[in-house]
Amino acid sequence: MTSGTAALLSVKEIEVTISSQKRLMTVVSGVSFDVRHAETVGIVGESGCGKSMTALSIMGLLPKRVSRLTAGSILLNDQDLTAMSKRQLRRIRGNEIAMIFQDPLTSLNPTMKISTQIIEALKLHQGLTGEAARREAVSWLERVGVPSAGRRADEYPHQFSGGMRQRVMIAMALCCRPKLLLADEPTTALDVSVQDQILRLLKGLQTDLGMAMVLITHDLGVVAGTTDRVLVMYAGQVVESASTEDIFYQPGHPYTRALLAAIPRLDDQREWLYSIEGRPPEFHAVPAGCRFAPRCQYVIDDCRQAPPLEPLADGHQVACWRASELLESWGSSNAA
Amino acid sequence: MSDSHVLGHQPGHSPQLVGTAETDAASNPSIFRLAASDVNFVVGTVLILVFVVFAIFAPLLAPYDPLEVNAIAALQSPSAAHWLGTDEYGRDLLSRVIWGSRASLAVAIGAAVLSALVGVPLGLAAGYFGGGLDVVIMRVLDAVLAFPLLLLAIMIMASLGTSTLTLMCTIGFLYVPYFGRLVRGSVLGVKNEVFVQASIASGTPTRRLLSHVFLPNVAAPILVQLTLAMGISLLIEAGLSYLGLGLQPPTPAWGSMLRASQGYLYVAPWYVLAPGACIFLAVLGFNLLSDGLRDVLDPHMRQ
Amino acid sequence: MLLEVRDLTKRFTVSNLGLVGSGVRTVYAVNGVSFDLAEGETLGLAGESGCGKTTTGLCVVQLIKPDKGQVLLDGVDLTQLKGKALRQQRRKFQIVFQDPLSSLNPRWSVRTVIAEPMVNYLNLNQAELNNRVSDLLHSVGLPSGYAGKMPHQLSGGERQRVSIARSLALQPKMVMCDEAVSALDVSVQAQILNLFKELQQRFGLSYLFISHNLSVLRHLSHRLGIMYLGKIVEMAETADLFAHPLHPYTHSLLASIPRPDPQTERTREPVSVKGELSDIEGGLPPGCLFHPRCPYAEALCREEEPLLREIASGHTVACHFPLEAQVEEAPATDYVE
Repeated sequence: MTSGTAALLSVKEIEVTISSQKRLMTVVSGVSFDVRHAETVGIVGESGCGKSMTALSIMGLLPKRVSRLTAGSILLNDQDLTAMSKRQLRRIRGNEIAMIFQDPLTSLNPTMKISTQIIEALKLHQGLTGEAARREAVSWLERVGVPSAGRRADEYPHQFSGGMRQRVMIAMALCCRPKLLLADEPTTALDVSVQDQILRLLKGLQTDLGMAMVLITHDLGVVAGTTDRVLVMYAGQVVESASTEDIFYQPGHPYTRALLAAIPRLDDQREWLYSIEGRPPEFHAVPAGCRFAPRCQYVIDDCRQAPPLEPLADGHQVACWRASELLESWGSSNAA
Repeated sequence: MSDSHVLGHQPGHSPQLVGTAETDAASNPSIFRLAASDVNFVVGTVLILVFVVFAIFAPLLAPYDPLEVNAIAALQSPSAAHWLGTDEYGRDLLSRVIWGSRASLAVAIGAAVLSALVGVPLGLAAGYFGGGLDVVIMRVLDAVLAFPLLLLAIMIMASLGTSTLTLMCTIGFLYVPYFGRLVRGSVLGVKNEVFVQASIASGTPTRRLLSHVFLPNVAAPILVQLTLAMGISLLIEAGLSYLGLGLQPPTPAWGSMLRASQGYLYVAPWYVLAPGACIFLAVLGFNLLSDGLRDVLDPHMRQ
Repeated sequence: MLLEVRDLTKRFTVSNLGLVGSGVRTVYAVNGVSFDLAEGETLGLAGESGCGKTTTGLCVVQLIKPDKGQVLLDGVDLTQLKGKALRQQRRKFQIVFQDPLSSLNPRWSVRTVIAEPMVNYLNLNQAELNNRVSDLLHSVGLPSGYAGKMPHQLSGGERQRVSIARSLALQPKMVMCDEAVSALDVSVQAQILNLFKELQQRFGLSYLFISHNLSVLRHLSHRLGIMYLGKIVEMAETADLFAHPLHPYTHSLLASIPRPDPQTERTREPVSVKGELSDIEGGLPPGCLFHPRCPYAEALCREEEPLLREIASGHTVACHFPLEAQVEEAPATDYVE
């Protein structure tokens, strides 16, 4: 459900460059998207497509010496994050935008009690201290489903299971009621039953707080159940952007289509899965023109020129010269 | 609702993978080029080579017989006839240091190699088999580490006499624990890697596992340690000779020359330079070579 | 029957080095597991982390020595063998591991990696070895020019193909795949799954396929076993298991999997299972291991441990009150078209 028409977050044409082994490589190029208030946007793609780097650049957490945001702007409530000072960013980070990661073990300080870590965030951003801070911390732990929250608040991260740690991380991220949550593969390392619980928790909290969320994942099942809109990324670019329904039922880009056909499904009877030949381009040898062309079944001469992200239908953008023609021939069938 | 007819995938067709992983020469330089561009490696090698050449070609390079006494020409300062001067017996210092490199290098290299030959297998066994064997080996190595060098040297020299071989063995013996620990640590680090399990699953017997899987993994640190050991052995040998526990005069040895030069420091200050510079440069050479090897062989640098 | 596993048991002692006190407890990673694997068949072992499926696999292939039980391969009990005798049997079963990178020796070329098993058992000269390596590379869809490459020059999918080529070198009867596609991207995973199937059809291989991903197992396995806390709680032919899950745990597992279909996802309801697997702190629960979390648990479940019983043809379940027996609760499944 989307609410409001003005964008909360507006990412415009960002470019992220990393230097590795004396080479400069552009791992995110020309990525633009909006996130509206209380909306959930999924960013989906395979490893190396640049989705994590995009999230890190929004948070201003790109690894300093090796990567930089080299172009574009990131507007949060019309304020340009890329033009802010470190101090201004610190006020925003954690307070208005929060981020949770795949591995809670490395994001939580192993030498501090959970309560201390949450209280630290509360102190910093909400100015709470002492008893009030502790009460708020414990209430958040209860809210995310940690049993015996009062007692467990004084435990250390290693005393929690994977799913519990993720809940703690969610508590820490949301205790300052940010407007936007970036979740980078938050459930990838969790068992499927725990994943289900965590995703439902996130959705519930999101509704309660009226919070927007950007969910980064490679799992299309997670995307189908959690998001309102989806961005599909390939080799550092957005190749398709549409509502979740459209992505699954009317995919416009050959890559999206191929991805959907490559997943084994619980309900399918196929003997063979569709496999995309070849592999994504190395970032130092990116082909000119459409980056998916070398692996695409529908490639034509025009593909030597990079297709821009263009509207295919209302709210549905695709970066492919043949998008509308192909969509007609595919018909609006379930992509399985 | 199969999509295969649209996406054109033929059942039973194994996708032909087009090889796209070309070796990029710029990002994967050969080890030799890497070695040639590393300053430490080059300077170290040059220095060592100089002394190796001295050692091997001593009879050809030395202008004089190192043992030839010439009392009249005693303690002469460096001149055209004697480039480094002469010692208290009139012997040419240049010739003596050239010949001295034989003994010093022989002991240095020999001791290091001997200690590796003993220490590496011990480390492999301790690391791979673990358990009781590991405990026993490590405690023995600890005991060796605790040995005071001088005491051992005196004991051995007193009972077996001073020769290049006994010096090699003594110093080598004391260095064994360093190789042992190094190799054991490396084995422990690799033992639980999946590819080791994969080798076992492929039917690789233990001895082949040790020689073909574990050893190559630790080869680089061993080489680095080896050259380091050579430098240290040389220093130890020089020290022992200096104390009179090493090679006895009139055999030319840098250490004993250094000792002799001490008495004449005010009278013939150049005397100390010859052996001193050699010891310094040789040890420096080994250390630089060791650093260079480490830079070149470090796998992170290679990728 | 190619493989017969009986009562496989493996214990680990875990020391609790907590900040407050310490203790040692025994974890039954594999707790009396039995199953069969026929020639040319794929048996899947599924479960969440800590269920013991990986340990089971490693015990079967004797990389971990089980404490109890038998592993009969073509009638020979592998658990009783050591050293050379065991190595002789290793030709018949091979392994493909989860992490493509760490399962290849970083210092060996692709050729050395694939040739290793052949060097161990066969007396071939270099030319013959090279030929066989080329053939194996072709079987897995890689050009023979890859033989000279080093692992770090390959992509994840390519490395996994090399692993598979190595596993085929001795023409084994069985390949144990331990999460063999879990570390791969979706599109690469599809390639490798197709490859597994094709190789099975071509060479008549049997697979013991261990995975936490039920969709993958659905695609690949003929029969499927669900493990929980070291035991198999349900085993059936794949289609049957998905259409009629009998064990509450299986049902809850299937219900938690997100489907790549927004309309289905909107109506998917979780099955109420309390807590998490790892909440087991003080040892195993009495009776049925699942009863503390089971929504249908009754007194009997607390007292007596249910044994695996055959409820329908080829479908066994360890539960006192298997789901189909509860007519009203028969779960609506969307697992079969």
